Amino acid sequence: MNSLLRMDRVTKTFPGVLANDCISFDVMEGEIHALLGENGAGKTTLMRILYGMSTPDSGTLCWRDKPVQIATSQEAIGLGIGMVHQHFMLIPEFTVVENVVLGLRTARSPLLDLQGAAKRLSELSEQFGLRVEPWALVKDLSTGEQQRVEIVKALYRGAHLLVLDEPTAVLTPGEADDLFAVLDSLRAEGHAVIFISHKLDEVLRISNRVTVLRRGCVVATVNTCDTSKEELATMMVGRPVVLRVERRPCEPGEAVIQIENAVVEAEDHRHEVRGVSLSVRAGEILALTGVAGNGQRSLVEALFGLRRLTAGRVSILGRDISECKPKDLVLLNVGRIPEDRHTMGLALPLSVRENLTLEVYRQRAYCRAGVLRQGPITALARRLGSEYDIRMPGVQVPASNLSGGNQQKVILARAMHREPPAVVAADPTRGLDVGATEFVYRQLLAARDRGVAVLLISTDLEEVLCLSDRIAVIYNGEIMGEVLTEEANETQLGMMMAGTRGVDLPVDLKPRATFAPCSSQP
Amino acid sequence: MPLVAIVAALAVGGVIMALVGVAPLEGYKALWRGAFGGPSRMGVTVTKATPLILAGLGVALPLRCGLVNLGGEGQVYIGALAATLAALGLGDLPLAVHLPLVVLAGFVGGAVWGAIPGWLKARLHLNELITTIMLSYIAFWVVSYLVHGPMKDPGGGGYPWSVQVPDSARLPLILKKYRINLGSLLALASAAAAHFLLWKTAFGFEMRAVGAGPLAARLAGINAERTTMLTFAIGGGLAGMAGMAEIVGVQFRLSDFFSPGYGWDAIVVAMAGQSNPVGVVLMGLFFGALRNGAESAARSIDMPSSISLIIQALALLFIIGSNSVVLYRRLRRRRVSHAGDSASAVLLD
Amino acid sequence: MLETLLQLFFSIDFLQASIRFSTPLLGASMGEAISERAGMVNVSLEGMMLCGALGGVLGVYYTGSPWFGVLCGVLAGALVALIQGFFSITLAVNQIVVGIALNILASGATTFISRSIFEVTESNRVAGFAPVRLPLLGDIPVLGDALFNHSILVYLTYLLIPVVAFVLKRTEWGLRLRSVGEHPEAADSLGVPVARMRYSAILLCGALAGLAGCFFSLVQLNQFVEKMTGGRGFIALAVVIVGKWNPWRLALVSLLFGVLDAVALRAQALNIGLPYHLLLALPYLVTLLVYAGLVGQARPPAALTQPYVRD
Repeated sequence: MNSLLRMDRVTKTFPGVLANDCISFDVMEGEIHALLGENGAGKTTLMRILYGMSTPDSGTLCWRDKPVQIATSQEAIGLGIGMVHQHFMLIPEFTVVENVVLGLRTARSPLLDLQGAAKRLSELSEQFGLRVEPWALVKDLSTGEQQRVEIVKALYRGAHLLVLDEPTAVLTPGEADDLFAVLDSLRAEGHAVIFISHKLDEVLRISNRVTVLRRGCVVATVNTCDTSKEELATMMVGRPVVLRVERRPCEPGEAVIQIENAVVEAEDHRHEVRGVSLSVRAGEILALTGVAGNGQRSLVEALFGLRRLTAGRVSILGRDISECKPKDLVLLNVGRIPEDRHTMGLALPLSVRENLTLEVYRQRAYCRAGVLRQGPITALARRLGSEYDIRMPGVQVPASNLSGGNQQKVILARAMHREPPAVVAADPTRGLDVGATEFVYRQLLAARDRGVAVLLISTDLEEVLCLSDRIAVIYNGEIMGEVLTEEANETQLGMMMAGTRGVDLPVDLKPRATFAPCSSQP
Repeated sequence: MPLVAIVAALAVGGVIMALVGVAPLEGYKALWRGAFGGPSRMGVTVTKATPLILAGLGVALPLRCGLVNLGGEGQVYIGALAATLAALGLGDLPLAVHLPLVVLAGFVGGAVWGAIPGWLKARLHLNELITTIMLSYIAFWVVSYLVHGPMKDPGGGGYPWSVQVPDSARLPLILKKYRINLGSLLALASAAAAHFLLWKTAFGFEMRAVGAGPLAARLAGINAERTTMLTFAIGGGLAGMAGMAEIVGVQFRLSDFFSPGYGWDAIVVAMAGQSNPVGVVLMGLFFGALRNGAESAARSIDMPSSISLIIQALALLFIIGSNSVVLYRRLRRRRVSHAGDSASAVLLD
Repeated sequence: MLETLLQLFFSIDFLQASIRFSTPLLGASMGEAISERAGMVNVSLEGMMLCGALGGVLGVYYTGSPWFGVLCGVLAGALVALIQGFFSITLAVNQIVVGIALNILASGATTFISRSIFEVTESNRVAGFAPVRLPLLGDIPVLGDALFNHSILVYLTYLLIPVVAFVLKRTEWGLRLRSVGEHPEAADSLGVPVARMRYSAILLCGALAGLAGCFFSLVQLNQFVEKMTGGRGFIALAVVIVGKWNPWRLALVSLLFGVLDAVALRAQALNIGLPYHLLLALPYLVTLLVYAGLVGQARPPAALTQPYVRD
């Protein structure tokens, strides 16, 4: 088998983040090579480099043993690299043929030759078992069909190496089977495929080799037949680096947050919640974890009052909040920390003091007859600023001037200063440095020690293992299982995150590596 | 920096003056004299600035809420109509009673005309671009119809204008030497009120929050729909007052083309003034001076008065242009690439 | 009353007038439709038309040739479009505000130039385009006079309909243009030069709008009068939406407005009892109602008004 692609010691840094660290990776003809790793492991960056959408800081690329520079997508396509993005690059209002043909010139230029293209499309479909309806409008197609169109589009342009980014994330199990059949025939014809995924089952099923990435580095490249799910899971998740935070033993009280069989519909089917039941008690932190895109966002939006539950019930301290709007949740004093600091957490052009008082400005202490009482508002802002150690030149500066960590402190202060009985925090430390992260952890733990019920939604396993008392894993909109944190291990969590139910895990699952629980300060 | 943009616009204006054979310095001197040469000229400047300030506020407040009010012209006309109807139709009333009612009518008329697109946007999600412009023209033609027909002054020489409004409904002069009427004071007061509303009240806070961070405002429980509708109504009301001030303060009768485009100029005034009531007052005065100066100068030197429109439009273009993020990015990138090109140096920030 | 109405609608003059009035709307709205299909809204359409009107007159004034006038008008419209394009595409700022500014600029500039040259509010009279009666077709009774006895600019504009429709639907260029207005990122990923296509679209729009402007000054009036386009540019914007960005539908909607205009004109003469000025408001009211009624059904190009900036 000839070498098709070789990426040698590729490195790429973004501000503050080493996305790809000296990655070496190769693909042979007639091979399906899986690229495995969690969110943020560096897979997307690497593929963007391959497809000419990003330039590496250092490293070389070789195509068929000849060194190449790929500066634009056009050049990548010219070499024979086709990319099927996670978010389809298809135009919904156009037909399949129009999408495939866009930007290409034919013998009949400048006129469109849709009939001829449709014919060639059908030939390709036959050859690889890709059923596409040439004259259908893309917007009428299911996601599985749209994905087939993306694949055909790449093949139509002569792709020899196909890159698929999390292809089964949007497919039903049946459609996934169809996809694998197509990949099989591609392989048989000598094409190569880079299959990016976090799903171990599929990786084991379809690939010849697996390269595991973690935190921008290659952990290992192995032959699929030589490895196992457990080994892959461990490599993918790894040994957590422990942040030193003190955690007292948990003394939970009554259930505060109760989610019963929640079902939330979303425009995009993969973000749906399909029947989640959770219960968070006073004085405990329950972490809901899983790979991003498995329903967390919709659930959080429902808990924030921004989206309605299609079925099921959510209650806080016994009050049913399934139909509540955000205003009601403010009145009920539920602390909400959204995952997107810049759009949902803060109104960036407004001052810090205005952001801090965004929920309370109508209260009698801060507002009399519709007129704001500047004194008390500023006093509150100053007090919160010092309590939560918000570093800023003053409370009047726009929130956009603050660093990410301090911005998050503002959000935290706003959510928690009224001593809510329940707090819902979504990815609260995303993009924060170690110091800020530590601060957030301490705040959440302090709240928990005070008897607050904290629901933490996070994709960061280390954070989850460090902070929580119990862990629930969500996959495809359902809870795969719940474990006590002190009994959890990464292998088990990794497998649940990848789709195995807790009850289906082998009983004698020996953790390949245990982790040290968060210990006290040295 | 809007100041830089304005200076640039004035510079280009100077070039245009040169092109038609007027030495730029002479031209601007004539403009200055036209706008500020003597008490009556200054008074006209202030009087011309008055509707610009009011209508400018009518665009600035919705802008703070993230809305572009393109219907100012229509709101001006309906406000003027409502004020005229109140002036003519309320019979014999003392000034102290009649005038406030007239002012109120002007506000309410404009507010209703502003509430329509506000409602259409909030409930039916209709883009305010089309709705406001259509309503503007409808308003214009309705007034046109009225002054050519039912409201036409039978003893008015056949011109399409209404009967003159009674003395009890006229805005009195407050500075006789300058011939500045109460309308200008109302404009200043409105600016102060707008400032108070925006910065000191809970509703103003909601307006700004919805404009600055709609998602965050929603999360915090603010009702964006209601805020949108009310803001549009208030903006319309202020523009309506501009129409009122022009009729019962200056022209004293409703006529066909009474507004030389105040509603459109208001957009320039609001943006140049950074949607800030103080800025709006300053820009209103500036553009009022520009217009007045140009009109007076046209009589003395050989330069069409529309130079003021050109400068105004250029100022707006330069202001928006300077706000371009892309421009900012390109300039930054150029600075960066000069700073020694190694992989790590590219990653600033 | 009914008799008068029948008299009104079936007169040759009326039909002829309707077609005449519809032409500038058709030209401008086709240009705008091309631009909007590529994702750009031009509130400055009014300004483009106005500059086209002046350009047309100046061209004839200095050379005596109406065709040269048309050329100047087209270029003038394209110039305004170039500025709009620079701000909307390259600087990626708010298209609507730019449009408003350009309208004011066009109004001021045309008034300024016209006054400087002609010293009064109206320009001198210039040679324009007299109606041309088509042989054979023009001899058909009734219809012949109504449809085939128009100035050449009318024929030109109407002939553009199938051309524009064909180019948009059947050529590779048309496909690329539409893709840029629907999903510029996807188009970019396939190598379509988004910025270049958008500039092409907007320049075409300016050219067509300039041509439409010439209609006012070279066909209808044979001179330039300040602000002579009278808001037609804004109606054209609405025509595009009501006509769902389709050239054939645009023709129908333009004709509808042409009819409304003709009704207003005739109503004044015939003394029907419907007030002239309210009839002038009718196109705007109709537009508003249709727009409101269309909510949800008129689906604009997905990336309309969104600037595309590559990361």
